[in-house]
Amino acid sequence: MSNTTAALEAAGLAKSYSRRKPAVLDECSFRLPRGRVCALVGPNGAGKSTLLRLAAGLLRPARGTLHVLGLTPARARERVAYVAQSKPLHPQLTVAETLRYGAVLNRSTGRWDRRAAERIAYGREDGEGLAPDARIRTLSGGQRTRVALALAFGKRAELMLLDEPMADLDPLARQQLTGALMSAAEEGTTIVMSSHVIAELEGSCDFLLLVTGGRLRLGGEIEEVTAAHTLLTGTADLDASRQTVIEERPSGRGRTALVRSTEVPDGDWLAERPNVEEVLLAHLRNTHVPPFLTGDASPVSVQRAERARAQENAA
Amino acid sequence: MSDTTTTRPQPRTEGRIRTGGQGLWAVLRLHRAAMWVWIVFVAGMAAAMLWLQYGPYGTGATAVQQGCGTPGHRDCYSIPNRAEDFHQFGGMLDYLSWLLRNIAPVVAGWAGGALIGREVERGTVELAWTQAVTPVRWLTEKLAVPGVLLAAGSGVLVLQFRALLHWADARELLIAGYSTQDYYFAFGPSAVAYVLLGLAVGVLTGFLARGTLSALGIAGVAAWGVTYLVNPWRTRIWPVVTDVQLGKGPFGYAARPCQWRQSETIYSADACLGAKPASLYWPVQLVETGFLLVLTALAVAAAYWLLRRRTP
Repeated sequence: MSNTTAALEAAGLAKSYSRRKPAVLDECSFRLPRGRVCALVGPNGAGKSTLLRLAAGLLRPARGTLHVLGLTPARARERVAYVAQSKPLHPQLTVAETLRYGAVLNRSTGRWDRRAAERIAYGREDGEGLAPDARIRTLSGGQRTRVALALAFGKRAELMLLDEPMADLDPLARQQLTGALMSAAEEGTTIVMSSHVIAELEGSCDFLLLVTGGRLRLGGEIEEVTAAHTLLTGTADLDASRQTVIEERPSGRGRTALVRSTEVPDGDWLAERPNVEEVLLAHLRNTHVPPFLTGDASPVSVQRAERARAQENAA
Repeated sequence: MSDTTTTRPQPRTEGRIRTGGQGLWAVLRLHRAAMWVWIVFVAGMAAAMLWLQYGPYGTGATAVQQGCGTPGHRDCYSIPNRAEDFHQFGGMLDYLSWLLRNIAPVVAGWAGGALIGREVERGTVELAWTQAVTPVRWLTEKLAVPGVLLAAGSGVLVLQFRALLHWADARELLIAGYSTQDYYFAFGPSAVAYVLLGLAVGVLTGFLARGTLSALGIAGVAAWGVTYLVNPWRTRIWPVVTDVQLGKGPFGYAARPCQWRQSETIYSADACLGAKPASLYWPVQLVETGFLLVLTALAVAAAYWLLRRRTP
């Protein structure tokens, strides 16, 4: 298996649950290189879960293709871990039995890491984690999340797809889990975490995918995405034909605008580099702006087409 | 972090556990409740048959027929008026054969419906389908383990019922007539095939129904419906003996002759042990078993097809 294949690569991906309703995901094309910790961001109902379920091989796309580690989602199954938003577990099992169940379901790969699973479930120190003989039905939402994540860690996957993993964890557990995810990422595991709470992901993620209304709006290294935008504060008029204006609103005596450009326009402008939250919120509020993918986040087919176009232009 | 993309997690051998034969553990542990329902059914049926044989009705009925057909006694077909135990024994035998023939498949259908329906409702199917095991393998284990348990349990019950019939026959306790009797099919391999069909129908229902409760209800009705519908079909394709006097000693058992021309009813094959020649027993059993296994295979294939359609 070539390591140049992306962790995820989608081209024209679309999914709808019913013919009468609009598509949940439409025309999604992006590339997630390996080894990244990717934040999948978007409002409720944007299609984040659908995208993760497609990647986990639980849904068939209506159109387009999705490759996971260079394979179809079904063939990548044993190398991908998925934690669903609802954290489904068997309530009648104990925590220890649930981990054993995970070992059984992954016995064919020989990769099951019992210690990694137990470390997440039981914690490193006494009183940190769960009791092995606690029944799943007696656990709180956050404790169930811990068990679901323990199964994902035990699988030693190359790609972890986590749907709202932090949502019901207490701050201590959240910090502990983030630490575990970071050490997995250091070993080369690609991680995709969805959330609608942006602050949750800042600091731990280095890659970003923003989905709203079933379409991909932003994609790329967080550094590159923020660097491609400029926050302008001033009093002059903006020429919308020269740069893409994401958002413009009055602030004080002048106005603040987020533009997709690194050039500072003529006039009296204070140019700042926006933080990721400012970029995301502006894109969440203004969904009509054209999508933006950095080079790393563009599917290979798109990259190839762009290279061909550039060569044509040069000729 | 991007420079670490070339390292791939390597399997760690320490911390691995032995997982041989663990698929069995997983299915049994997850479906303990369904397993206990079946164990209670089998144990209850076995106990009821033992009680019928050695309890008050069995001994009482044996006493009624003691010495019949021998010089100085009445013949075995003229039952005296005061023979409550004898009639109770016959009624109970009918009832047990009915349970074995009609209710065992329903219990199997419930098991199948619970097996899949509960996992679908809780979303734990998606937990299983996103592990290394393929969905097809997952379903195979879900079918194989209960399939073996159901076949073994119903097989034991069929053998015990046969033994009970032999025992009753040797004591001139078998009667024919008046009510619909399922003996004819309860003591052969088709009874086991019915149970397997019940499981397959239940599993299929588990995929189709939304929720455990509806899966249980529909699976039970479907399993019962299939067994019910096969009755008239079977009766019509096999020749029915219309002369009741020919009904002596059928299927290796000496039953009483039929009480009236039962061939006119759709249940005649079941209704009267004397209505068919013994030579027809195995052809009827094997054709019926084969037919049921084909239906079972179709239901299982449909379940796999649904699974393939749901998971890429």
